[in-house]
Amino acid sequence: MVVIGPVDELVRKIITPKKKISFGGAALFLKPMEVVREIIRQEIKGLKIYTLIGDLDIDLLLGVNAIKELHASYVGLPMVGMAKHFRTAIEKEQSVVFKEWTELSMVRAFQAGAIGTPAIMLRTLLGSDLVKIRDDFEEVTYKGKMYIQVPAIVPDLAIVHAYAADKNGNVYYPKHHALDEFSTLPAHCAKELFVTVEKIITNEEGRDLIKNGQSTMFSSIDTDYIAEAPRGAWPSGFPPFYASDMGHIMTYSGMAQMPETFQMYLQEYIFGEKEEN
Amino acid sequence: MSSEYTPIDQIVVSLSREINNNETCYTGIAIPSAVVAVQLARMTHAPNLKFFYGGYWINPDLDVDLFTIMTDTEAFRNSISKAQGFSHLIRLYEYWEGPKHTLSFGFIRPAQIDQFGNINNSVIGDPNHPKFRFPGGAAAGDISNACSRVIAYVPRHDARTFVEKVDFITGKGASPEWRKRVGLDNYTGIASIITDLGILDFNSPSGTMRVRSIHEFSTTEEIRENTGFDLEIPPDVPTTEVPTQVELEVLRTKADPLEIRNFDSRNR
Repeated sequence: MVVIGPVDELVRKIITPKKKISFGGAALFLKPMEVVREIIRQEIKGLKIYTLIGDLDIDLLLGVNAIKELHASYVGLPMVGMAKHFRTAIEKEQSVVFKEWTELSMVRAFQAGAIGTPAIMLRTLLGSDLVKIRDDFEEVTYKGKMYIQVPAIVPDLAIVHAYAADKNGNVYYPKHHALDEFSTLPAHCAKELFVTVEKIITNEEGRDLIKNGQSTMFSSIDTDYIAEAPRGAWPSGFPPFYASDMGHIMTYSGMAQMPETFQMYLQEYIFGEKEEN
Repeated sequence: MSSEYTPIDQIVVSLSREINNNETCYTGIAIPSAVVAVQLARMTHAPNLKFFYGGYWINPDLDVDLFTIMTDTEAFRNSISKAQGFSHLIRLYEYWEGPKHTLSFGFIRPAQIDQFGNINNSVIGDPNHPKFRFPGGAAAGDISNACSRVIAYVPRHDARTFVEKVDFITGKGASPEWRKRVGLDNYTGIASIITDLGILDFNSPSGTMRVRSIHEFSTTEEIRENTGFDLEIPPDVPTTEVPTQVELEVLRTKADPLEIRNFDSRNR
């Protein structure tokens, strides 16, 4: 039975250190930012995070030293610049173990997790030094052809942001949508699924959406926890409702450069009473 | 319409000329000059190109920039009547190795590239304790072995980017012999590199990087000084064909009126 509750309560209940957690979204789109902010407010540390393309979500969590192990194919602020805390955590503090994947190998590992196969083969990694430094990537031969075998990713919990959910726990696509696979891929492979939504609707409203030709992104079989978080992806974008807030990302990037200004950012946008969105 | 043009205009125009009619390609939004080059090619010499953009649109013809349609409800709705088709992001990840194999080329913007075309978007120094951590390759480590060929571009040609040997191979280079040995000979790897100084490729006798042409506003010496290894410069190396009036006009008025290409000259 799906549990519907406020973001802070659910975060307190289900996000614990050592859990393997995948984040939906990528590259300043569809990130579960309200949950990220709540993790910071509750000072949860020691997380193991999987995300295809990390941006502000990862840099914020690294800035407060919340992540112990990170899996991603890229961590940066697209169109803005480097992710400051990602670099500091790896180059100077060595406070995080970073496991780099290529985009396709990580997608395949999510897909393998979703269908329950323990590993999957692909060819795009051939020739990459990533194979040399990852002891869980293995060169294999199948019917005379070379492949790289990578392990499936099976997170304990996936966290994604989506459009609307009804009381039964069905999560709906908006009428026009794109890039949803950035969220469904890391969700389908996980043991539990936590979805924040722009709005909670009644079961009747949900059925009306289906009658009008819309469809579910996750059914009530998939979802375990749901919380309402209007503009919960902000400052990442949610097509087609709101744009990635590039002005804010630039402000963040500037304030992340010095510890003092980063603390001011946290006070203003995370610990403060009201968020500017 | 002024015939003056910037280095980034030359990069975009040269990128677009690497594209042939009747090909199929994909781009995301994080490499703006590549997106603009594809739109420019479609609007000039490659009208039959199939361009899969942003995990959703096929051949979008837009009067707003491609970033806006991702995130503005009204622009998104308007884009629907101006595109030739719609797909799903997941198909991209299937095309890369699936049976359709329809992607003719992809783009890379390398942080480091060496004389063999190996690219490094990962680390400088010991991978476990790097001196410098780049953001990571995302798909840059995949597409050399997933698209028929790769077109690379470097907005600022310097010796930090063009190195004799990359610190770390995120994605394998041209290396035709290696490709044959592992059965990837259908994939060229990086076929050409467009920079703000010239155009480079691997069509030298030794298969290492050479200069194919030098931009009108650059020189042989400038390329040598800004490259960290001895690259082949043929004595009769030509000047890159400058952007035509038509290309510049289409670029400025239709392919990139909001100048998203300039993100590439600001940020590396």
